[in-house]
Amino acid sequence: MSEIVMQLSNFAMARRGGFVSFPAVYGKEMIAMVVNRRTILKNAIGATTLLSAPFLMRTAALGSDPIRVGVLLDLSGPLEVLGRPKVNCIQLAAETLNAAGGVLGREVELKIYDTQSDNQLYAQYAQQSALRDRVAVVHGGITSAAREIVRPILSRAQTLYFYNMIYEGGLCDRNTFVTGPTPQQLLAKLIPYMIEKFGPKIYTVAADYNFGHDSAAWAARIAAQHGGEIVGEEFFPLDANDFSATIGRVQQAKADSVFNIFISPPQEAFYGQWAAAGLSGKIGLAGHAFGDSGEVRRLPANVVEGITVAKNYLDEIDTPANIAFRARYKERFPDEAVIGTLGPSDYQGMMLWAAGVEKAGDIARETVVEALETGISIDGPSGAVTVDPATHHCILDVYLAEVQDGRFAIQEHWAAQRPVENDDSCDLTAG
Amino acid sequence: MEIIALSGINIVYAVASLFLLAAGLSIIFGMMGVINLAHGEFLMLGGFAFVLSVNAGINIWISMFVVAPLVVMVIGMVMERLIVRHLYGRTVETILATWGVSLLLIGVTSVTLGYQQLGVSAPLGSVEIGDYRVGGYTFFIIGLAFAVLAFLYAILRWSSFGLKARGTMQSASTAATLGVNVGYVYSATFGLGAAISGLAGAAFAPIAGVTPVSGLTYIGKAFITVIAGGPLPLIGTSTASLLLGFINAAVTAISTPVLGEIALLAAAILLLRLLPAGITGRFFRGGL
Repeated sequence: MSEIVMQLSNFAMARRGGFVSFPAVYGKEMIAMVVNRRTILKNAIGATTLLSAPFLMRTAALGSDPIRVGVLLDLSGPLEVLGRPKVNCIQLAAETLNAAGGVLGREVELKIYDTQSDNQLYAQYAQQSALRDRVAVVHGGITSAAREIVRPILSRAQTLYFYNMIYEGGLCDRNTFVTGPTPQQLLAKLIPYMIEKFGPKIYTVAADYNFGHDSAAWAARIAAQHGGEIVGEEFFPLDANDFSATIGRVQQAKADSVFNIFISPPQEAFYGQWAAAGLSGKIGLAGHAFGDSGEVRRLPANVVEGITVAKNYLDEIDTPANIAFRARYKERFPDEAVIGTLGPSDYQGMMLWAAGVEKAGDIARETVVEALETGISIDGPSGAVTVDPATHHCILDVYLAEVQDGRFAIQEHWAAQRPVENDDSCDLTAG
Repeated sequence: MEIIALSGINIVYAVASLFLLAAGLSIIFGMMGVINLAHGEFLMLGGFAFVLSVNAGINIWISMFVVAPLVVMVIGMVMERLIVRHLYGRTVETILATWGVSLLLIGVTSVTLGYQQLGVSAPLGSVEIGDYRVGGYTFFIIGLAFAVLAFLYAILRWSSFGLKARGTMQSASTAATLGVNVGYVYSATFGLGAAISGLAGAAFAPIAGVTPVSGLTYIGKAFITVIAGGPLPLIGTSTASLLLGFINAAVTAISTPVLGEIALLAAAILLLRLLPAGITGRFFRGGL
């Protein structure tokens, strides 16, 4: 029943609306950024005879049009909490680039689609971005499921794709660049820390889809390498909200810590029930996606205290680069209390793409990929971000933190961590 | 021994939460026959009313026992007056209309309240059973389920409103000829069901969180429980909760939560195959 109702309501939501136009979402000040194509066309037509206009229209468009960048992110529905800061960061990146004279002297124009937490819309808008808008690159995708919908479409359409998310690892695709951290980067730090701090027995609870399963497998593998042991592993549907049996089993297994690979809202239900059972501080707790949507601020202090995370970015990073980034974000989006852990990957993704285009001197996909594969590097809010040519992932900084008094207290920092082990399983630069 | 006690508590908790989720629907659907597809949204609204009023500084118990039921009761009665009352006896139209209300409520809450609600932590601390710890709130949910059952039974069995309501549901025209204001009774009964749903939604908010779509996770189970219960709203829903909740929790305890859910659905299908009119279609006839 609930399945049918959900499908029907998804269907209804899909019908509800299409493209959220730029000014409608972002207010008047953004209208100026969108170059009025009609004006350009009019000028082109005015400058020449009517007969040759169609041909000239195209050349005019190519010569002076802004560079269009497609953005596919959820600005409504359950994933809005994750999508909103990501879109904000992409906007901030575009404005930063434009204020500095654009990319290759051309303005960056964002084509933002609200995918409404609906995977069907990812397919539709990926196609529209590539085929109708003819964007130079698409940034976006939140869940691994959404990414796997977008990726083949953009590959077929020969449109460059940036996936700016933490994910379960394993991508090896020449058309796709990943700027978020991989399990090798995060879990290789988090799991040994948990073993050292809490003890060797880890109990994994995870969402029942590829992100949860693959991350759990990584956790098990890394735990084994560091003398730890997974004493229990459970997978839950994405709408699970009763964990009483599991919380009993965690205690029965005498686990030293729990590794939580849910995404909100079950994540929040789990933490609430965990604290209600009086286990906070008794058994260690780490959250893979914790902190991605302001949980520290939203959940009660006694619920979040002590939760451990490994991230590429945290608001609390105290480098000059991040202090400046935080200030700019706050100025641009004064209503947002925190940036969250996800958005800066989008900022860094945009900046990396722009650096690649500048280096290539062109927006054509092939030349930009080649430029990025030279191991291009930028300095982002989280530290240096360097493309790993073989895997199209990034070499990133990793921070380990714990919630103390309602904010993340950074415990450790590792610079320039590789996205995969040196195992030659993926080499996109080879022939 | 401790682990048996712990499993026992989990089973009783599963039964109690199933009953609480379905109690409001047992009045609206079980008793009145209105297939209310917005039941999940009643629960969700109860949760939101609770969370918002707690965060506005209102006492947590007042928010749960007064604010949430009142808010949802008012919404339910407005919905009954504006939409549902025109559709009594027209099942298909009711499904469509209440489903529309459900989508509307999800949409309105998505736009106005959003998915970034502040959480409320569960009160009552935790209880130690040997080496194990169980939330005190678990026992509260169990107690609340019994209280709701007793309250509904008392009000329907012994109050004059209960008598009128039962009479009206049995034969509205007869009740009307005896001087009962049928429209008022329908409206109040619908409001009662909505209020109970609001209370249940509030009770689950601290441990399950609340988002505009949280109703969707509850509605399936609530309908299955009420349908499996059969024609008697209270005895049916409580015996069905007992059976299905037990099967769910027991299978979850020995395997995984996913298999527990499957077992619940399989049991409901089997039950309706054997007893097409539900448990109280065969047993406990003539009760409440």
